[in-house]
Amino acid sequence: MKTYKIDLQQYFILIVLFELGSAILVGLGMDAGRDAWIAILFGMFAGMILFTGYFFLYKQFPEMSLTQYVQVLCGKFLGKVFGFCYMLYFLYLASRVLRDFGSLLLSAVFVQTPIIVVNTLMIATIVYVLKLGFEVLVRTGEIFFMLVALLGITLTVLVLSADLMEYNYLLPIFGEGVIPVIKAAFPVTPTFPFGEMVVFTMLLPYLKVKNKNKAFKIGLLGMGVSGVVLSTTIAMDIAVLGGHVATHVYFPLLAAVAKINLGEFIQRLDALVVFTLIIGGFFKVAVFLYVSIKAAQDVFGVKEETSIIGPMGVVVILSSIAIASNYVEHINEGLNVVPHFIHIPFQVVLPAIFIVVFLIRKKQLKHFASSSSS
Amino acid sequence: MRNRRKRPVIKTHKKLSDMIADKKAGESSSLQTKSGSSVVGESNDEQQQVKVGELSPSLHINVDRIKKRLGNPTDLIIREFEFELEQKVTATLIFLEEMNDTQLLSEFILDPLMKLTSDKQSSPVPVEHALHYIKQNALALGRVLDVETEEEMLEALLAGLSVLLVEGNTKGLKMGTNGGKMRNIEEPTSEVVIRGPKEAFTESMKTNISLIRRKVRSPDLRIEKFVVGDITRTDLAIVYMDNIVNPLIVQEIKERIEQVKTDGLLETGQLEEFIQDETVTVFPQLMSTERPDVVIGNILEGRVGIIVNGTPFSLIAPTQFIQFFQSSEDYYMRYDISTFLRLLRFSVFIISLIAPSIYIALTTFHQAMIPTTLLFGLAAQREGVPFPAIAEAMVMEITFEILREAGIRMPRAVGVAVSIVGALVLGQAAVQAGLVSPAMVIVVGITAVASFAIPSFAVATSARLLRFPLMIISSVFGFYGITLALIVIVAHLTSLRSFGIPYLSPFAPIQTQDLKDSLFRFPVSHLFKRPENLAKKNPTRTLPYQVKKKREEETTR
Repeated sequence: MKTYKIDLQQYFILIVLFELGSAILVGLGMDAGRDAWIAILFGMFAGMILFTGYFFLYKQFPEMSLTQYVQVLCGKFLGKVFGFCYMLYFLYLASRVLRDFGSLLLSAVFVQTPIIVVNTLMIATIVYVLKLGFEVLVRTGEIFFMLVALLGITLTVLVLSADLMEYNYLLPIFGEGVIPVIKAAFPVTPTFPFGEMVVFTMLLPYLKVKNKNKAFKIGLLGMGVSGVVLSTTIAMDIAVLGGHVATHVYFPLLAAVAKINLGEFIQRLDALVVFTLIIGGFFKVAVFLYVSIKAAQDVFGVKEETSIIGPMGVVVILSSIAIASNYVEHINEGLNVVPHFIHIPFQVVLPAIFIVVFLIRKKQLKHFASSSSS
Repeated sequence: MRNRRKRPVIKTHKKLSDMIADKKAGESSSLQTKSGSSVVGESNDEQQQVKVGELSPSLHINVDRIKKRLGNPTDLIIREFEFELEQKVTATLIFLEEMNDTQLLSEFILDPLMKLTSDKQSSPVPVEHALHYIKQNALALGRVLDVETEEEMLEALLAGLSVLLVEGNTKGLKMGTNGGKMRNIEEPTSEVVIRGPKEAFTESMKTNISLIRRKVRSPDLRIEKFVVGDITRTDLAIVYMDNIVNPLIVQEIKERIEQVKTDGLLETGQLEEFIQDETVTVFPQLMSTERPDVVIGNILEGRVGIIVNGTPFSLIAPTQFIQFFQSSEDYYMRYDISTFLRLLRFSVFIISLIAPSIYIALTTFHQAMIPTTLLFGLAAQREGVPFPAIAEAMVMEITFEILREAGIRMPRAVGVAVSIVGALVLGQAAVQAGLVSPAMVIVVGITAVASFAIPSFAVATSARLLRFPLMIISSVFGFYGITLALIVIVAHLTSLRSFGIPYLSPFAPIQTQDLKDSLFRFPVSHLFKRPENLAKKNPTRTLPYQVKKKREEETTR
């Protein structure tokens, strides 16, 4: 593989940006009420288990992405079918995230603008960046990671100094017992955003690393950091807004930050949040789009990835509008349909099947692995 | 022709000589030259080459050729004289008057030669060896070299050397007697510092190289010369530290310079456009400086300096984006103030880039973000203004650009009038007439001042150009548009490379060591390593050093 390799640092940054991208915006695990932040930590651990599975597969096929080794595991035809499904899955996720952001922007700023305009602008940016190469995306990530981290720290300090937090809102912990929290946490929370680490099955082959265990640890660290950030953010939202309000607002973070008012001068900082969110959303959609392009390459044997970036981008724009007729429907699908019928099959069931197949066909494949590597 | 091949000539050299040869022979000899030294010409061709290129033993044929080739200009001096060896020998000294030091010529060439007498010689010298003899015994000059072809002779003459031809010799001598008026070393005009060396490069490459040599007394300092420009034949030198620099980068720079084929090279800016990596960009990919200490600082980091004769501005390659926010003075002042200034300059760049677009976005889309009292004030101001914010901003920005251009190109006496008209008539009156709001004038003013505070003019220009598209997109999409545009700009920056080195390093990709001297400057005693990408083979710059603090009793015993 002569394409660009990412180093561990960039890989960590990519994971964090990707995980936080849109998750930090919506209320995660809100079924658990004021214990949502605990539900997120549960979800994070479950997600780490999933990631272990993905990494196991990567270790068996260190030079191949998911859609490539599926063809080895399940045969050419079945493998291509699975690969195609994954491509659709990634495209769908890209469209979903894009829709999330379009809707957010419409509701917050551009009340009268058609959503297609907003989405097209975003995709145009993404297509431009992807045309410059995956390398450019990753390095741009490095720059914006620093910026977003700086903003995040600033906002946290401001929220703390504005004395908005009412820690009593977080009490009592496990007020209704552990069961409702676990119920809220599973199965939805692990699938979003932690289960979406399944895209890294497509990106891990680009890692420039000798020591696979280190890569694994860094991956877990990235997930851990983003999990903790998500959890504290949600906890902060709840402490500012109160459990009840926080669960019923579409975008709790925006609502919480909007309350900052220091000396009648530093106020309405939600624009800064929107800024970080646009960046996060940009990376999330870009990664999903890139991964689906990679999948399409493997399935259809496209030589030059640059040739299909544009068309795939157009597909994402159109499907981002077609997937739901309005925002309520979109959110509803996101909470009730997608996790059960789409996320779980693609994030848990299929990879599990692949692992089982691998274990069964291990001996046969060993022959293949040795012949392919020589 | 053979002789010419033996010399290490660079490509452009060949081209000129080809042109001359072609013209005279009327027959293409360029094919031969191109085929390189491996193929030796046939004997038939060779004879012709002798006729065309090489010097004839007859003095007046040579002189006539030169006269004809140069069109017998008035400043071409052909001084014929005789000196005495075995017998009387006729010789001719040829030079271009305005480019030579005539005192040197008469004192160290004509005077000793004319005083030559045969009785000084132990054994009589035959005419054929006259040239060698006078070179060894009579010419009291340092730089005396043989010339063997007509082109070489022409080149020497045009470069300001003098040429001595002796009857009966098929060689000549070129002598370094360059002279003529040159500007003195002065203070830098575009990179002023408060503390630091006050000398700047001049138009003369010789002076510039001497400025560098004097400060770097290392045998590893390398200075390699090139000639660029088929007509101007401009001298160009690259300067680097052999023990630090990455040889691949030097190789790349040399190759790119050698590939430049153009008629004239007057300024490093032209060279920059030839050898830069990416043409379609607003960002400068090579840094230019007129300060010797900046060049030296950079070659010590493993970069390469490019000096062009005829301009005080030299280039530095490869260049990173962050260098445009650094000034040489940063290293001469304390680290705390340097860091502060660098951060300030960078924020100033951001301001000059996006200040008007933020104002437009705020007043058009995000009024809620403005504190209420200020919002009322702004609304009251904008009430009488008939245009949308974008039109207002565009008019003011373009007016400012016009004023700035007028201010630079005007003769100084008229400049005062421009500033009066600009400031009073346009600024004051436009507000009073209700064409623009006062807040807009403030925003444009901040932008203008900010763009002057960026130390590098080149990167200030990028901000200036990008400002307009940013204003337009912010008027359509508010902060969303600005954010996406910033993503595009950053992505574009990360995709740029300067001679293979990522333009945005050490930020993308992150290089922790190099971050110490980027937007921040750690104390010089803590900058242990040279930039990672540039000086892999010799990374250590400073050794850790800790001052042993003395107590009062110890020092005032």
